[in-house]
Amino acid sequence: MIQFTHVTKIYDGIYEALNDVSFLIDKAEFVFLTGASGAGKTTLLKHIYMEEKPSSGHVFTCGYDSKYVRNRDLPFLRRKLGIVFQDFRLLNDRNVFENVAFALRVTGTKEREIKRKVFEVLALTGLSHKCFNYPNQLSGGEQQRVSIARAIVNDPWVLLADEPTGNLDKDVSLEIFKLLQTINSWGTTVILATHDLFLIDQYHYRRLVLSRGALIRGGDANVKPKFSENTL
Amino acid sequence: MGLIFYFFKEAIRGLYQAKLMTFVSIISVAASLFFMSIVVLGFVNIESVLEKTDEQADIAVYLEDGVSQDSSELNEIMRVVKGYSQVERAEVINKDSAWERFESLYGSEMLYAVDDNPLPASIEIYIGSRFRSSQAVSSLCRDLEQIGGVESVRYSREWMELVEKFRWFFYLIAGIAAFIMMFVLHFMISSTIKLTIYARKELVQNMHMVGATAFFIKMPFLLEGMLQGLIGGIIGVFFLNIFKVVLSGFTLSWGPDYFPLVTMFLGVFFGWIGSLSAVRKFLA
Repeated sequence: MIQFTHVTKIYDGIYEALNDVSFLIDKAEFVFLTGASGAGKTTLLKHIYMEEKPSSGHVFTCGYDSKYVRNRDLPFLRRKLGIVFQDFRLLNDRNVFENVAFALRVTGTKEREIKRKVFEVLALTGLSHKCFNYPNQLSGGEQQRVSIARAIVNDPWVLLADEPTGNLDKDVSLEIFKLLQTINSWGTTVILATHDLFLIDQYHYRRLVLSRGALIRGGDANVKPKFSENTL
Repeated sequence: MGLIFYFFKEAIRGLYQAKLMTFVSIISVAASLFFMSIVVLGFVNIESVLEKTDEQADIAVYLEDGVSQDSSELNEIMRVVKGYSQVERAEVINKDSAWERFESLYGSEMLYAVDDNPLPASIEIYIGSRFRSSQAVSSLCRDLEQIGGVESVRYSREWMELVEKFRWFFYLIAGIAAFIMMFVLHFMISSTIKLTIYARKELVQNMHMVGATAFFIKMPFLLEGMLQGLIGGIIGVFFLNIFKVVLSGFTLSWGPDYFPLVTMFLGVFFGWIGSLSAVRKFLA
């Protein structure tokens, strides 16, 4: 599903954000991505959704190879991913329904289908009663649930969550985590970047631990490129 | 259909969000298109006046009193005149025709006190358009003055020089004005769209993250620019109509019937160009 093969990312020719990172994540896995601030978690996630390309090595996500992917392919890659950020990144000028529907609208989904799917994910995330509220009328936890609803409404293969509980208290964090577990239980791969030691210790999922750009745990230095150069 | 509706909805949302800037931009577009239309209509009217001037005789050759109509002397003068390559057409205006023409122009009162017809017979000469430079005309006039039986030659050299100079001056002014207006249109629309993109950068980021194609991201901004151009065009045409009413006392040409449509189309076109440059720069 996701494969990093000796990925190194160097910014401005000096700063090494990722250093020879190799790992493989299978379908329907739940993975913690941990490490101190500045260890390279967000950079690694950006490589998965190909906002960044490696300086050397290969990233392979849902059938797209970072070495050969074209800019015009990126929208189609991202439709296979759901992305959740710490700061929610909701559109404040539209209500909850519109925020979630937005992700379907950009893919050209029909209006009737949009309504059906949006109400389905809002029910799942427990937000049906708030569908006409605006983000600034919601609590932090509710806003993050809207953000998750938006990320999963397209039935993504992989859900990337970059510190989704970073701004939330312990109880709300646990609620969000349980929601991610539910999504994972349907077969969606979940990669959760977090500092939250409570969650990491409590739940024994696989851990990818980054330190100063290097993967010090959970990686596999022997990962070989699984696909030929022509494969996309 | 749903997609088009969505693009329009987003475009109108963008226009509404940047209300003040949109207002300033639309007014600038309206003013630019209005002045561009005035320049074009000024051009059309001046050209039509010049065309009428072109239809008038270029040179009048006045004959001595002794040269009578149908005389061999007049035939000889006509033969010499028509022999000049610059002369396209020459017509004899006899004394009676000159009298009638004077009467129709100034009335019979002025000739009341005169017993005999004092007006001389003349030959009106029309020059081929390629010889119509003031230098060529004055050289021809000098030659015509030398023909026997010719009393005097009158030509509108100064008037022609003025017409020539004015025509080129007008072309220049119209060109500069049109260029400035186009620049204003482009600058205003692209600046507004840049600001809109900047104000909606969160939306753009979100669109990228959820897999929107470049077409999908750019289209609302392009539509926004085109809508600004269209609204500006409609307002410009509205002011042009007010101008038309104000000047209704004058016999002026207001261009073909589709002129207002062309003005609005230009607004849409410049809206598209302006927003395209902003989108290319900021959403690359």
